Amino acid sequence: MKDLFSKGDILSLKWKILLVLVCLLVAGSIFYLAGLMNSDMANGLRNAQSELQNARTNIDQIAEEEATIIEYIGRYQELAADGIVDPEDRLQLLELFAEIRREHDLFPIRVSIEEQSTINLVYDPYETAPGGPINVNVTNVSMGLPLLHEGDLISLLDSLLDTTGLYVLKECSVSLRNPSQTNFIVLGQYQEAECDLLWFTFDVDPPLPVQPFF
Amino acid sequence: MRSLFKQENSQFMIITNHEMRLYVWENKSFHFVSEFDGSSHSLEAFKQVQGKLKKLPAILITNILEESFRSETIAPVSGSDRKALMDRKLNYAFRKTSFRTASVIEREKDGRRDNRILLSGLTKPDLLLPWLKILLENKTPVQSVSSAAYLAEAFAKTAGFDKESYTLVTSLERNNELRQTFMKKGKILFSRLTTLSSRNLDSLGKEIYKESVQIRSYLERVKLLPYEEYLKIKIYCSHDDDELKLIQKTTHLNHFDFINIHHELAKYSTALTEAQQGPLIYFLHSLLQKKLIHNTYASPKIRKYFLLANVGRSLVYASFGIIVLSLALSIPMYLESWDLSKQQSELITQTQPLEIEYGLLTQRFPETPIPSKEMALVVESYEQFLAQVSSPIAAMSYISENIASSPTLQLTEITWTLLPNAADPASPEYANMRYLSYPINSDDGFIAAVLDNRTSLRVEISGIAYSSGSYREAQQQVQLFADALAARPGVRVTPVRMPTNVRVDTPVNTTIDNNELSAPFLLQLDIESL
Repeated sequence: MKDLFSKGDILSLKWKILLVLVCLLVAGSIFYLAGLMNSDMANGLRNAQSELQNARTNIDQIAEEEATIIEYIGRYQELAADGIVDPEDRLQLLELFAEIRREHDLFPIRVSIEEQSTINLVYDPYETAPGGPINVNVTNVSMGLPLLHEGDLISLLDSLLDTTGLYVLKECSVSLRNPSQTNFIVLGQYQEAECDLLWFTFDVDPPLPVQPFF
Repeated sequence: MRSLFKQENSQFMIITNHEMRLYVWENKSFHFVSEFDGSSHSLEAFKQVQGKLKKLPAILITNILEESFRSETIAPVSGSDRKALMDRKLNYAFRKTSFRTASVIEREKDGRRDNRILLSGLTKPDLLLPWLKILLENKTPVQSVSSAAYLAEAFAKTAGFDKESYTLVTSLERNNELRQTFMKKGKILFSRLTTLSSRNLDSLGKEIYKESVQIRSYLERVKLLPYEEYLKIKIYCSHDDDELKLIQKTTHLNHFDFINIHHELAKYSTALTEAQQGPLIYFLHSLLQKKLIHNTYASPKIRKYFLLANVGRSLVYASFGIIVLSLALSIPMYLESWDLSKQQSELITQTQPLEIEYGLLTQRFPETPIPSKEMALVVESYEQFLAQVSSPIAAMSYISENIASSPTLQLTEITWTLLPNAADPASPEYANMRYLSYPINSDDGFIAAVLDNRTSLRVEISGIAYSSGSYREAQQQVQLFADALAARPGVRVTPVRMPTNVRVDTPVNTTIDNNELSAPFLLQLDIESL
């Protein structure tokens, strides 16, 4: 082949070789554009499907949300009014203890409020569109007081649990200060009560978790 | 687009020992251009004619005396070995000409089953070279150089008598030149050109018959035709058999068929005069209706402009092929895109009213302090906590009710505890528990247990049993108290410590005197409900 054709012979084919190259370019462009268009259309279709699905989901969700709101708004507003969704007010709690003591003429009450801890509330795992994070803040409150009789403790607990705060009693003990004593004519501190309770408040706008640096 | 399998417009040169006749094949018909006697004048004239025809591929057909055929055998090899062997044989047989060819005819049936080959060559290249020189100077594409013998072979295949065992194709050309080509099953084995001396038709017929018998004898002698074998002799000429009287000479060995080529060519409505016609033109006419004329003798150097033109044409076809291929591959994609676009439009049409409806619903949506899901979680969690809120007051009242049955007991301490329980995977509520990841002994574990409703109440009652001197009475008083407490369903009482440990597997130590008996006890109450 090399000996058969001279350089001039090969050059005489230059326009035809150019035609092949141009056709290759055109063919490549046609094919590439087809692929591009196909891909664009497929993406467009996916987006349209997604938008339709979103629109349907939005309508379903808004209906569901409306039902949820109707079901819970009243109770939530009560909780908000009771300060359950506000930060805990320790002064108010101490005031409350003081008021209960005054009201029931109780012996001095020892109150110890510990550091607040937080736990994240968990949505139903089957919930497809859960809401934002909600924390529950928990504070352990220990209290102790001498009792004239068991009624003092009952009065204290009744009054405390009857308030608007959310308190869950964890442990409570009542003991005789002097079991050998048999004369109860004189008013005195015959019994001793110790109680631990958990004070719950909700944080509906918790701070975002701190991202690690690396 | 040109047909790849049929001959395009071209120029044909019929070369004999006396002249060269030039024809043009155009629109499926031959046109006679001129004839050239090979003199310097005629070569000049040919050169001028080529100035106009140089675009047309040239096909040279020789009908000359100096074409030799030789049948030989080579070892039964194939591929490049066979080619090398055949080249060697060609070099030996036709050293002085480049217009030569070799082909395998058949495989011998006996011995080592050698390949029988046919070597042929144009032994007087000077008859072609002046014409070829002009063609190459003009850069005219030379498609092929072939001969009347090979043309007869190709014609045999087209005419359908290539299945005959032995055929002798005899054609009577101008100047009474008789070409006899012998074929076995359509494959050429031998051919020769004879110039007949007769001038009147009667003796011409006899001379053709004589030549036929002579060539038969020769073929039998060289063992190309077995003795006493049936031979079909097909006579192509410009006369009728009435004039030559050959068919009547048919015997059981020689069967004469007679074809007047003027009658046959008349079917093709040719523009040639009778003088310009001949068996070769008839063969070409028949072949060109269906086939290309293949090259037999021309080397690549002679055909280079034709090959170059073919390369150029292939490039053009390839260009169109590329475009067509890309379109063929792309069209389904474009169609799919169009279909996808339609589907997209349909979906958008479906989405729009939903978005409007959503907008309307959003506008009349009630204001909420926090999103509904969060609100629901807060309320449900609150209620979960609330369900766990209990007070020791109920337990103390229950204890107070039942202590009356045991007046000699003194209670010294009551401890009320809300205990977190481990989750029971067997319980139906297990699947709904969301806070199982918190360790039960941690502070968070207690809260998790409250949120999962996994708590229970435990009350421990410590006291002292008094008796004036009876151990049994003290024991009974505590037992009565425990029985009274356990009487209510939902309350399970476990005596952790009794006034006297009466189990036989532990020692008992006490001092028996006159003092009142005073013994501590401890009862544990696990309360499900009160």
